[in-house]
Amino acid sequence: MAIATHNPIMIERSQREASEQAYVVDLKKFIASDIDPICRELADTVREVNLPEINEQSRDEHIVVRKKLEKTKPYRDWVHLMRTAQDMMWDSIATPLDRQLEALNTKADIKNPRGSVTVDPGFTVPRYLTKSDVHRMPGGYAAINADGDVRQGAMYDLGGFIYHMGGNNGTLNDARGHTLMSHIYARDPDFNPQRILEMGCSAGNSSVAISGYLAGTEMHSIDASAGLVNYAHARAESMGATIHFSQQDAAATNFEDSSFDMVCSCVMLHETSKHTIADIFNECYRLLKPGGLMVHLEVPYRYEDLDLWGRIRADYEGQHNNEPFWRGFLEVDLETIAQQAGFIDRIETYQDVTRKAERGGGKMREKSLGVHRSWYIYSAIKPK
Amino acid sequence: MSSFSDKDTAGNKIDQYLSDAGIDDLTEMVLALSAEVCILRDRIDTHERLADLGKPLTLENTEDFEPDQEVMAFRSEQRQKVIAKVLRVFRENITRDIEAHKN
Repeated sequence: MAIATHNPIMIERSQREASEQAYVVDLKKFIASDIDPICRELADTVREVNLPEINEQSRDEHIVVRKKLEKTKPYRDWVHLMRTAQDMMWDSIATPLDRQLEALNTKADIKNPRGSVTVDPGFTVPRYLTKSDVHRMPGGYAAINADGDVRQGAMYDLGGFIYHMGGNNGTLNDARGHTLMSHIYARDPDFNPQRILEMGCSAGNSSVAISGYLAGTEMHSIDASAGLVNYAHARAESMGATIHFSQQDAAATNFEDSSFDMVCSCVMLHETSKHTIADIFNECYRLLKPGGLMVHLEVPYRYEDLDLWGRIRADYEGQHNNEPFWRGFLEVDLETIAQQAGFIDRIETYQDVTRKAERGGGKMREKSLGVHRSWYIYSAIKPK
Repeated sequence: MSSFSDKDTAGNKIDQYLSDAGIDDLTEMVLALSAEVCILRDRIDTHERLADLGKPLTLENTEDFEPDQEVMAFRSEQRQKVIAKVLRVFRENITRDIEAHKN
């Protein structure tokens, strides 16, 4: 069955609700295009006029500058503006979602599914995902109202579309899955796996995109959130994809040793600590067959690439957008972790964004082209 | 469930980052109101376009109206102008602060 080009269970919006969400998109665009550049200039100016003091301190330059900025009204206003825009985004989704939740839960109760969904009532969501509402999304990843509830997944799916301002392939929001496949096909034009696993699948956007390239491959996708895997399952089924979803911790799954040809994730690693990333790489190694491929797609820059304001912005993600591991991930040495886990043929690269992967096509680069133009990729092979 | 997050990593430290709480509340109110203004402007735009087509301005016709790319671009431009006006003072404060630091 062909994969659908639209998502039948996306939250429907009245004209009024669509207008409200369009306002949020334009507010975020305005902050990015008109406020952000002068904040960068302000940070550079504060650095310049305080250079002697900054040079005397042992702390990171951007932290010294940020501490000074935190005493100024414009910086505090910027923080508040950013937080408010994010909160308005989630609020604009909650109204249509709550109106349709019962209908969405009914749609999600798929009779005779091609794939499956398994939620573990005894599962404890890792503390690092319950401590705060990641991305300021009300209820975060972990909230669940009832068996089969899809609320958090539906909210995350539409939120992802608005957050990326339509730049991540429209309402399907699945450019990451296509770009991950583009990297795999660039590495191995003959890639033809029997069984694959996707970790941290969230609302299943990348899952369906990946599945579309691999007819006949047995695909499993896991996430720590019941609300997300319930929604991802319903989304995949309604789009014609056959995927087996389950609620599991990527660092300790229940799959057998050496049982997958490929294990991957899209923007999962930055939600975890350095310690957990090491556990996840070890788990990938355990799960892969000899010669199997591990691929992780992530945000399109590393800490060393960021200028002064970029580093202050990275701190904002941790302090105010409830992304506690943001900076830690940007600095983590994946090469050492992968090497220690036993992986070989390791590639760290930036993959050009695509919405259609071609075997032998796809371009890898040493430098990122920026947001929505590149994704960072770390991939490696388990030795035969 | 609330439509606003109540589990925030900033937690009790948030006060040190924000301006006067009353002013912050006011900012949120003004942004919410400016959103409502833009929503109403979109609605009026829909009605004007329906009228141009000779269609009655019913709820059904209004909800069924599907703005094309050109209409969406026009509306986005109008929204950006409203937002620029509402946030003008933010921009000016930052620019003034840059000059103050330089002098």
